[in-house]
Amino acid sequence: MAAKGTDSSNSEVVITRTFDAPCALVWQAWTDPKHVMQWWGPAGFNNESCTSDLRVGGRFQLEMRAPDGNVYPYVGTFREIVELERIVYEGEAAEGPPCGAGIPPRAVATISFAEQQGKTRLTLHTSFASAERKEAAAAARFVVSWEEAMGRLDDFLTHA
Amino acid sequence: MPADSLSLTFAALSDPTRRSILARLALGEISVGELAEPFHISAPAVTKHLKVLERAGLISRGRQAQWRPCKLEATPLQEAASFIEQYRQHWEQSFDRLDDYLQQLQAQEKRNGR
Repeated sequence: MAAKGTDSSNSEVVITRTFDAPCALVWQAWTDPKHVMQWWGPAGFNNESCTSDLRVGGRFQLEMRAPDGNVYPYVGTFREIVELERIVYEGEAAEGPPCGAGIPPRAVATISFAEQQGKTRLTLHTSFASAERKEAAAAARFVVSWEEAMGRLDDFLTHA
Repeated sequence: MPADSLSLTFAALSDPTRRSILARLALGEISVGELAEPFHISAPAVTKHLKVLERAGLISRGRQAQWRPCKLEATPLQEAASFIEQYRQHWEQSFDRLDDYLQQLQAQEKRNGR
């Protein structure tokens, strides 16, 4: 069983999950393109290709095919690699879908690995495009409270 | 939604006064003068904020009435919300798949007598 957690109340979007697997295996699943292709993307999505030059400054590329046939590319650069601990991706500024197949263009995503009693806690921390980082985070926070308000309004209307 | 109009929305939302203005407009249409009151800023300063919000499509302003009432437009906000939601979905679902995949890999290792 995996424990879930998300938090966007602070300045950036953070998603965490604990996997019932040793850190070395989770690391392998994240860094070997052959493994990455097996799980990257929402349910129903398939990966057409994935290449990974795992070194600082190296490129990571992935092409994700949606159930509707659309292909979403992601191209990024490794900014930091600490084996079994941390990987930092930076999305390339390019025309494309705002979500950029998982890491938005110009966003910086840090994946942290921490082993705890044979399990691995993974934290995905995303800072949106550096120039727009604060705005995106502010929007995320704003949007969360907005959604809550909408949700409450919705409840109120259904029960009225 | 194209990436640049999303940035426009995020940029417009980056200012706390503008967020408060939007929150106030969620209650209903209002004039610039009434909007300025609780913020302790001048009407021209409010007008400036309104222009940014209008450019981002977050509000619209009436043309007929002389007081040009301001009205909240929900669509760009919903688009920004759906962007964040989509992002979250992408990773929650990827993590579900990674979870299954890790279980498969471990079962395989066991079968191979490791």
